[in-house]
Parts: sequence; structure tokens; C-alpha cells
Amino acid sequence: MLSALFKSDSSSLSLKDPEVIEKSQRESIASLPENLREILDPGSAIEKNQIYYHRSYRKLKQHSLLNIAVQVLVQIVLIDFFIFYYYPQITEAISKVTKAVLATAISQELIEIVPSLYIYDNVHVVTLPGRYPSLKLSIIVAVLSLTFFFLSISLKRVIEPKFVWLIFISFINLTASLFFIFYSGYFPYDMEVFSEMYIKTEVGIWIIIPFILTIALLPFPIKMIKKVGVIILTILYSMVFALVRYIVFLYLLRTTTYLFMALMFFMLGPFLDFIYIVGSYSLCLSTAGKQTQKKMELWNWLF
Amino acid sequence: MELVILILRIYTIFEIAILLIYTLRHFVFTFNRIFGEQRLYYQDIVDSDLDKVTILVPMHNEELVARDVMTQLTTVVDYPRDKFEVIPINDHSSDGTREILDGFAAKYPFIKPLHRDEGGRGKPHGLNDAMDLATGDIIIVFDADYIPSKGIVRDIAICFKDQQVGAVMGRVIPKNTGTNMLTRLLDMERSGGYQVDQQARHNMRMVPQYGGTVGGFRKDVALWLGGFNPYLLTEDTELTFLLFLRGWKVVYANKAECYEESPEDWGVRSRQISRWSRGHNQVMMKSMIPLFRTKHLNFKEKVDGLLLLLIYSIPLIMIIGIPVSLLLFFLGQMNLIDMFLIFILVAAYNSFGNFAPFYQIGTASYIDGVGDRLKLLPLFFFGFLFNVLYISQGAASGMLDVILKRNPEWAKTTRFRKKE
Repeated sequence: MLSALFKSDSSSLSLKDPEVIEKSQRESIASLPENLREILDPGSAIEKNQIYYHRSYRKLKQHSLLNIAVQVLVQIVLIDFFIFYYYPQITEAISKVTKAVLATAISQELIEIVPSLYIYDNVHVVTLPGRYPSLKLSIIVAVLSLTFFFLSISLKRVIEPKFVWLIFISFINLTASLFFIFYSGYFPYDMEVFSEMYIKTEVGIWIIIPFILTIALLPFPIKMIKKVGVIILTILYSMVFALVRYIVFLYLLRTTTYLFMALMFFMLGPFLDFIYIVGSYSLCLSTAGKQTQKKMELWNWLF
Repeated sequence: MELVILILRIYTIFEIAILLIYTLRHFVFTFNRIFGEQRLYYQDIVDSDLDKVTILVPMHNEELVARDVMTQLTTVVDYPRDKFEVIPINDHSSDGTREILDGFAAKYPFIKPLHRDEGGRGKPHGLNDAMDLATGDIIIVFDADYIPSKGIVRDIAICFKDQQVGAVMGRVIPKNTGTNMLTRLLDMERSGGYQVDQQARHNMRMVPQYGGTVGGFRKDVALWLGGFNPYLLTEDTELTFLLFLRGWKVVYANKAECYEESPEDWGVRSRQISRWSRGHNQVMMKSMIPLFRTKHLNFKEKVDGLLLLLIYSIPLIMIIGIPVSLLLFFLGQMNLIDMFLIFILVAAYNSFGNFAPFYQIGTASYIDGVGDRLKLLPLFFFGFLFNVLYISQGAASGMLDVILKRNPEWAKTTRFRKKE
């Protein structure tokens, strides 16, 4: 096996011999910036007790079909079974909490929880009367968005990521405000429709999370209990985050009008959900990576 | 109105279909790299009769980095000196590049600087002029900010012992990774691109790409192809497709690693990706039809070649999709299915607009042994629209260049190395 113990690797053997290094070489290297010397200076070679597979062609050992089947069964089928079984109760709980919180700022008589059919059973959503923006508000938002949009574009400098996001937000708000200036009566959504779409999307995301994380983490030698833990924690986070956003969305739509519904829809909806899913994946993989990098039995070379 | 809605819906479905194809493609690449049999290049060949190699180093105002790359080539790179020459191309520099190169030339006879003060400026111009002077059979190119390692010239040159090989590409690794958030993210992006993408395409005998630096090609073939088109901004993509279309192969050498300096600010990054996109789309417009017609590629290679050619057009398709989605929303057409489609679209769009889905970057970083830095993966989100914007800008320019027969000017990437 290549992992046999060596005092040092072959390159360091020759490079460490000062006779091999010509004087001119050493002078040239000494003249380099400090950050490059560590790469170039043969004298900086590190003595190694064990040679691990080089990163270029190492790979992980393939899982057996049984292992994959068990992962799919436990991490997807089982977890999704619970979500399918309990989503009516979970959405009801979310709606009740949302109603209770909103009732502290909005008259309780205006807030209702209504059922809506989804997959095979009802989800529960909060509905309350919404408000259309005034012409004045629409014009102000349109002018501000337009000004920012053109200012950003006409500034002949590079637009950094945060400004690109602001331009995107301005573009959505500009479109929405123009719509409400000219076609206010044709706005096709109300609070109930928005609530339904939001809650149903979130339920869909809870169902999708086990798929995404199971497939993405499938290759890695991580104990199944950890993978299950990551998936469950991600779903729980998603539920709490969905609840918080739901309260904020409904409150903002009620107080600032439907003008900002498009923004919530495109910027703060499922778009944001993907970030924490990737976050869970990266946390899990980062931890696993540190634990498994030097376990030679987990790695293969070429085949 | 129904017709408008139908068109908008068809566009959305088209957009999602394209993104799902790329998601599937990268899924296959990722699993091939982590589980599949890895295909080596030719590093195990031992041959005392090595080909003569000419190293070309294009430079335009590179005084910050010129000394480092020349030091590497003269004192560290290990190749028989009688079969080795270096032609640094001083391309209209107005700083101290000329003096640095002349200093090395005075000390080392195999350094033969080419000072270009007349004629068109840009990498393709310089490479064409230098190839006329080169005495080597094999040309290897390093950009001026690169730090070639000891055995890299031999590693690349030995591949040309296979007479089917037209070009070889090595692996690029950023050196200044720890500088700031951007460089950390670019390091992971590079890792995904080389460790998984290029190696998987090499494994699967598809279309690995010659990347214009840390790579080599046969001089006679390049000259036979007419040299580099000075008005294409990505001469590397052009050469890749010219070679494949004529039956040559491009080899990816994952162990032939070379350090580079990646952009340290968003301005430089925006110009870089915009230029890549512009050049790539120029090549896409020229190579699409020949790709379908060529008899030198099998179906699998043609599909991969097509997806490679189209890759810098995806953000343009996506940016058009933004007003389309907004229109659908205000027309009351945004139902639950669309919400899911948007979610999948974002998930599919190669995790935040950098052509490598999160699982590809994660897998590559895992193989590379990256630890804590992997936690930064979600931060690619913040560069998502930035990438989409500048790549789209470049893509539109590239397509218009070909349609309007415009000749864009070459733009040099700013260097960040500190003067000592």
C-alpha cells in the first residue's frame, strides 16, 4: 500500500540537500516576496511521517447498493413519511402562532385561519384583509426605484454584488409600482392566495430537503445518524424560519400594502430557503472533511 | 393576452429545462469524480528523448509579477536546458517589464524576450508572433502571474508523445486564497472547475478544455490552424474546439498543478468574467454548426461540446427570465407549480451562477482537503446576481461581435502582488 511509512517524500529528499541548490537559485528565491518563498524555497520542504494519496487522483470508496438503499429508505422515505403525515398539524400550528403574534398588532377579528387542500389533506393558512397601495405611494416608490436603478447603471464603475442586489430589488419594485399606478384594479392576488402559495411552497421545501441533502451527502463517509440529524435539523430550521418569515410577510403586506408582494415572492421566498440548505450541507461536509481526510482506509487511488 | 402568456410560459419551461440539463450534467461529473475510475494523463512515461519545448509568457505591464515567473522558469523548473527555451512576450509594456526580461536574458541564454512595440496588442497577437520565433515543437503557455512548479513542463510535454494529443491542460490553483472573501470563494470555484469538472470530462473521454495557461499545444498544429484569431478574446476555447473538430484530443493533467493570482476585487473579477463570457460566446457562435457537422466526434463528445459552448449563455437566458417571471406574476400566472419551478431553477442554476452546483464545489473541496473554508459555500449566493449580470453582459457583447463583425480589444487582468 502506498501509505507505507516513509521518513520523507522523494522530492524533499533531493531538495533538502543544500549541495543540490545552486547559489543563484537561493539568491533568486530570497529576493521573492515572502508569500511566494514557501512555495519556491526547497529548504522549506516538510518532513512527513506518512504519505497520503495526492489529491489529484484520490477518490472515495463506492458504497454498496444495500448501503445506498438504506440511506434512501431512512433519510428520504422515513423522514418524508413523517412530513406527509404531520404537515396538516404543523401548518395549523404555524398559522395559530402567526395569528397570535399578528393579533398583538392587528385586530384579532380580521385574522382568520382557513384550510386549503394540498396533496391529500388540508394545510392551514392565515388570511386577513389586505390593502392596495395609494397612487401617491406607488409614484414615490416608482420614482425612487427608477432613480436608483439608473443611477447605479449610469455610474461608470463596477457594480459590486450588494449593489447588484439593490438594482434587482429596485427593478422588482419599479415593475410593481408601475403596475399599481396603471392597473391597480387588476392585481390578481389577495392575502389568502399569497398565504396559500407561501405555506404550500414551504411544505414542498420540507419534503424536498431530505432528497437534496441525501443525494448531495451520499458519497461521503459520514455516519447515517449524523446525516439524519443534519436533515432533521435543517427541516426544523426551515419550519422556524418559515414561521418567522410568514409573520413578517403578513404584517408587512397588511401595513405596507400589496406593493411589496412581488419583492417578497421573488427575493425572500424559496430563494432564501436554498441558502440554509446549502449551509447545512457545507457545515456537515466541512466537519466530516476534517475528520476523514487522514483516514487512509476511506480513500482509494484511481480505481 | 393568452398568446403572450403562452409564450412566457414556454420561455420559462425552456429556461428550466436548460438548467435541469446542466444540473444533471454536473451531477454525473461529480459522481464520476468521487466514485468513478480516474483516468491518468501520461506522467508515468519515462522517455529520455523529450521534445523541444518553448515556454511563452505573455506580458503587458507585468513588472509586479514578471520577476517571480522568470525566477521560477530559470531556477526551479526542471527540463533539459538544451530542449528548453523561454520567450517572454513583452507586449507594449510601458512599465519596467522590458528591463526585468532583459536582465534575465543577459543571465540565461535560453531566455529570449520578444519585445512587441508595434502591431496589435493582446495575447493572440503576441502568441502568433512568438510562435514564429519559437524553435520548440511544443508550446507551453504560462500567464505572467503564474508560479510554475518544478516538474510541470515535463508533465505537460510528455503528453505529446501520444500523436493524437493536440493540447494539454494543467490544473490552476489560486495562491492568494486567504486574502479576502472573494479569493476564498474563487479558490473553491476553481477547485470545482478543475478537480471535478475537467477531471470528470477527461475520465469520461468527453471535451476537457485547454485553458490558455498552464497548458501546451503542438506548434505545427496551431500554425496549420492559422494561428490564433486576434479578435477572439478566448483563444484557449477557440483552440480547444478547432482541435476537437479536426480529430485531435485535449488531455487534462490534474496533477500538473500551477499557482496563480486570482482577482482580489470585484471590479477585476467583473471584467475577467465578462471577457471570458464575451470570448466564449464569440467561439460559440463560430463553432456551433461545425460541431454538429464534424465526423471526428462521437455523439457523447458532441453533446458535451455543445453544453460547454453554451455554458456562458445560460446567465443571459436567466437574466431574460427575470422580467418574464415578473410578467407572469402580475398576469396572475404564478401558481404553486411556478413557485417550485423557481426554487428548482435557483437550486439548479449551478448554485449561484458560477457553473458549478454546490455539490460539485463541495465534493471538489472535500477531495482537495479543504476544511473550514467549505463553510463559506452558502456565500456564493451573494455573487449570484453579480455573475449573472456580468456574464450576460459579456455574452451579449460576444454574440454581437460575431453578428456585427466587431473586433473587440484585449483587456489585461489587473495584478495584486505587492512590490518588494
